[in-house]
Amino acid sequence: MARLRPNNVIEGKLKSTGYTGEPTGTIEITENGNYNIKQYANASVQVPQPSGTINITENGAINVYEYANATVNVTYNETLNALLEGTLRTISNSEITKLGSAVFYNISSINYINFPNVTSIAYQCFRNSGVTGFIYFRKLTSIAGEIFMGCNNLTGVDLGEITNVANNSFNGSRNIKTLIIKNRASLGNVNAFTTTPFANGNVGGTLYTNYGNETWYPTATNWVSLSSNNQYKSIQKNLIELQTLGIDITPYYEIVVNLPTQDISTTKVYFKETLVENEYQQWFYGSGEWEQLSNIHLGGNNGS
Amino acid sequence: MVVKENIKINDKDFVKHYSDEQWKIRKIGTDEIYDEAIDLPEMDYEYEETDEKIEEI
Repeated sequence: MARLRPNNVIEGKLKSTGYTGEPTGTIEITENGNYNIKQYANASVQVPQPSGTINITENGAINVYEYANATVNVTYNETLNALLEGTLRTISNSEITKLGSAVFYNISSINYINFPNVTSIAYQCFRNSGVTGFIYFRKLTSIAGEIFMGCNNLTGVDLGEITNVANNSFNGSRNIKTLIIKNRASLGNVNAFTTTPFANGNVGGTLYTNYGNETWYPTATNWVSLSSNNQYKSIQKNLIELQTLGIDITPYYEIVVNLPTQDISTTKVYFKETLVENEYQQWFYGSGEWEQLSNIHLGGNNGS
Repeated sequence: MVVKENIKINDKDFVKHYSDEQWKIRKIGTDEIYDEAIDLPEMDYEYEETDEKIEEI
């Protein structure tokens, strides 16, 4: 077992206790501080209760568990394939462009993720995890099946530019009420929304899209069978107005609501995210004032 | 074989297509692939089996 002191850097593969080429080992971190771990394969990282930053920088099957307030930055070349276990609470990385299969499967402790540059998410990536609130994947182009299956703390997802909502994507996610899909996306099967508000006629969900033909979703294969309470709306970015107001346009959408069963009515609503110290908040503006959607306390010292 | 059924959801009429051997199906004339396809009756879409099996949960 390698025992790290704060600011230690482990470089080079861990001594193999398994078979050649697939080293395994355990790294134990017992003190608060910042750590850098590079080049590992099947290592386990045990972090009892530190606060600080752990940087992990190469691919491998890793287990990160037993830490409380640490922020874990997992920096791979481009793909996160690690299988994370335990009490991971927050994870944020802007370099990762692909999330592998089952990376966050059953991680109930996780409540905040931020992968702004991810373009693809593999099978069961977040299944049964604790991901909370509204998640943005604005550069996403493809998802595999069951990615958010059973995520009961999830309230909404921006699915970016995907063209297919894969099978069972949100099956059993009881609180998913809002989706943003920029373009036209087919729905692989209706089980994608089983036991979600989208399939519950008494609740309903809202799909925001800027797909030009706003009548497509309400009559599209499988989408059409979802709750009649669903509202299919369209989004258009109006950057000019926000820029005129001197607002950072990056986290905003202007949403123009076109209810397909009514004459066009226009309502401007906005989303924004704020991060003040370790408090991450999501806001919605739709009726004259900002309404707070969520507040998530981020672990770690830097809150990023 | 692609099976076609008339079904009701929330008292509304729909047409459902699926493969009786758990193949995915393709909407003819498009590249849209589905496990099962539920449509409004008036759409009158047709489907064919693909050579891709439906994943099991």
